Amino acid sequence: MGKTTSLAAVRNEIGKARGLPNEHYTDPATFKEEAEAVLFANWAGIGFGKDVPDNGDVRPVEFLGVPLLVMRNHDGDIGVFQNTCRHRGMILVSEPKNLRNTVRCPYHSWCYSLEGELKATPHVGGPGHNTHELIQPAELGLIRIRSHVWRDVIFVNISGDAQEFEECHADLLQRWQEFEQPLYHGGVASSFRLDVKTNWKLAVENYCESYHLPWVHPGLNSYSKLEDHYDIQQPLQYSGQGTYVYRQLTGEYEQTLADFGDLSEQWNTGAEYIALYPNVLLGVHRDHSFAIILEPLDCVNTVEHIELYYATDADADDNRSVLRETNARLWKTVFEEDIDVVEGMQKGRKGILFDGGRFSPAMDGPTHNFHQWVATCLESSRAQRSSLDA
Amino acid sequence: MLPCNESSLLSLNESSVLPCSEPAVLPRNEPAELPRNEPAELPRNEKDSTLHQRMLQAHAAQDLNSLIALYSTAGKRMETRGDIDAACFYLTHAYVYALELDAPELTELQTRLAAYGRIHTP
Ligand code: FES
Ligand SMILES: [Fe+2]
Repeated sequence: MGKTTSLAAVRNEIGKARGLPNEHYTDPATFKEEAEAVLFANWAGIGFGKDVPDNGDVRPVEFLGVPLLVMRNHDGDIGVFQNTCRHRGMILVSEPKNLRNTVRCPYHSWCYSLEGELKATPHVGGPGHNTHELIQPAELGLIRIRSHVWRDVIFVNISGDAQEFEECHADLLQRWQEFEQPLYHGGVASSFRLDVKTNWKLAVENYCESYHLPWVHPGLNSYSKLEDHYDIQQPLQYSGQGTYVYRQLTGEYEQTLADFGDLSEQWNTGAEYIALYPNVLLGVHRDHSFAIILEPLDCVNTVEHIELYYATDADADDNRSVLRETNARLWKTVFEEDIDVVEGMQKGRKGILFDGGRFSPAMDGPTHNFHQWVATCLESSRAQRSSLDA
Repeated sequence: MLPCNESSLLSLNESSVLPCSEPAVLPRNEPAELPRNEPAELPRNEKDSTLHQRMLQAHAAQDLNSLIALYSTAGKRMETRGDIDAACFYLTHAYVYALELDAPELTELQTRLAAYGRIHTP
């Protein structure tokens, strides 16, 4: 790794702090450092349960170059494994498919169960001999990656040593407890991706603040004024914004989207938008929710995977399909409006004299919260490394 | 991983080799008739080369059900000829495809390979 960046200014109190130095947005070596210290060391989103809907569905996913395999077993549970054969390291599955019971390696046909156990090692002891005393199946199952599914997002902790998801995010789980109910994906129109030329962190930063709303989303702001928003900040966990004036879409005959059941009054006109660090952006409303996974391709390229969910099954609730489509279109417009600014902030960081910038103590709390978290992750990983070196 | 490679890998004695592709001239010591306990789905007197041809077709079509049947047949044929290594070689292929399909043949194939000590007992 190259030189390490200075994070002291980031750790200052908000009025005096500066943002992360340019290298965190422009330098491939720093990107690599962050991949390990920030994205692998925590619970990062890598995919959605709705993309492996049936038991036996398997789906290869690459996350920061690491080949992963998402599998839904015959109990309906999702597991994530390294998509690499324990024999000679062949990629096991290269396209999504449905399997009966067995993942067969395309190279020498070693077979694994949907739980990752090594089930067969054909000819491993010579032609027609499928065992060898030195090849013990119990030691050679697929490498399991810690995973947890919440709100249909598949989270993984690649380093394997983060706190349990439920402990780590107990606060948010509690905050959104009322929304622990079945989610139904809205179908094709409710799924879109945006390819953005920006460092993934800028998408987080832009998402968690409301300061830009009147300037970047004037349409949104006509019914959602700046003063109707409040900041959400949980140190070292998440940040975002809430609104007091969420208005439901209404259709031609005054129909609305179906509500989630038994929500308390605050959600009649309330909605919240939270960046769950590192890379998952969530939104909840009385009648729909969404999840965005930021897939960092490299230092300056990010894919935003956006999925919208509802309280009722789209197939069983056909007469609201127009509303769902309108809703998806509205959100797509909003997210597209943000592209210019996240790409612009990326370009701005080529200004070699930029010093990380300042934060408005009144408006940028959620953004500063995120920077502090990133700095904390980096510092603790640097401390670990130097104690290893010592 | 075509059957022709597999048979050369085996270095079986000449009489039991399933040839790589339909040969212009049939192998000299190809048995004229096959034993009586062949499975119903294949003609009793089908030549090894025909069986092999069918395997190639099934591989090309990725027809796992046929692969299970054909490799089982090849296995049984070798068993009858007393070549247990070759038999287990083919049974192993049938077994792997049966695993993949979770096919009804799986249990029997497992039992047979286990009886020869060729897999970890299920
Ligand atoms: S690399 Fe997978 S079986 Fe050999
Ligand atoms: Fe925005």
